[in-house]
Amino acid sequence: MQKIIRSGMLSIMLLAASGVAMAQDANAPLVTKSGTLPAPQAGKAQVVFFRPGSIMGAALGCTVHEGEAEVARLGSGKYYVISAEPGKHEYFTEGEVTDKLALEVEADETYFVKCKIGMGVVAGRANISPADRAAFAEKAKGLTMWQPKEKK
Amino acid sequence: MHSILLALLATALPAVETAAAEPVAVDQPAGPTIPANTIVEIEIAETISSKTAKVGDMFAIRLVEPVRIDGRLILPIGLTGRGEVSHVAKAGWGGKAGELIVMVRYLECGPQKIRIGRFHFGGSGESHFGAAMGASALVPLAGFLIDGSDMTLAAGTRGNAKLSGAAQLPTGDQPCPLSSSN
Repeated sequence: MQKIIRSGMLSIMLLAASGVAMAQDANAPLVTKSGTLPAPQAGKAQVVFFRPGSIMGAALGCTVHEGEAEVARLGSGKYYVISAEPGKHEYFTEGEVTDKLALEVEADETYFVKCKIGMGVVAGRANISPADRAAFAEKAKGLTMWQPKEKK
Repeated sequence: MHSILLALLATALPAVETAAAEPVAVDQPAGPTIPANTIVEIEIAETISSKTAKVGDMFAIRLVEPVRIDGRLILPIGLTGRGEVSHVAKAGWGGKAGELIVMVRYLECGPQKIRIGRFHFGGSGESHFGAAMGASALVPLAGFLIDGSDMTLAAGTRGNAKLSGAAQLPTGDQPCPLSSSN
């Protein structure tokens, strides 16, 4: 329990500082295999979905939706960045179970969402959970940006 | 009836006296303005857990570092406010970790609410996925009997946020008053 609280406190200090850290970390860009993570568009929020490389459920996809729209389709070791209007959003993955993440975003901020394949009864299930800049930074060098296919 | 009135007066009088005893600013027509994006150091004043929290739950926050403008105390330590739980997912079978996101909403300066934001806490509890996989390998489906950990945000956890916009305070020369519950 103490471990959880400690890790929670550490996370909140890191995340809580994100308002300030955004500016401070501007000098320490997040670099992936595909390049440098951009800053949010002025007046918009930015959400980074990422899925660290792992053998666990590597063959399974992690498809993130918002409403009817497909937001990202992440294979192992992929990430994708979207621009979002400030306010409330609900992202979800579907599969054996639907996993939802309610995210309230503010202008000029970057948010991180991690996808992980968890255990299901028949197949793995994609779970999206809130993450932080540090968690992304740790995996960034091994991540490649997902390229959505052109709609025909 | 008289005794009830007397009792009411007796309880009301100290509040009136307290208010009358407070110094009144005479040379300060308007209160100070705190610029947008001013950083405020706050702490969560109550423990929140993904096990029990619900989306929309409000919780207490407290200012832990004073805010000064030109050296003048504006927001004193102990100023209270509120935050809100914006996402919760309980820990589940198969080692799924609990999730919790909280937002801070405002600090209270008397009746005025100073909007704050750009603070978000998101995190998930300790995932026991590895342990669940291990158990499942030995006994099929036993993994579903293992819970992940819930996310707990302890009272006293500190962080910082920013003013969402400039706030002009109605307090003249005086810092924002602490609420009586402080």
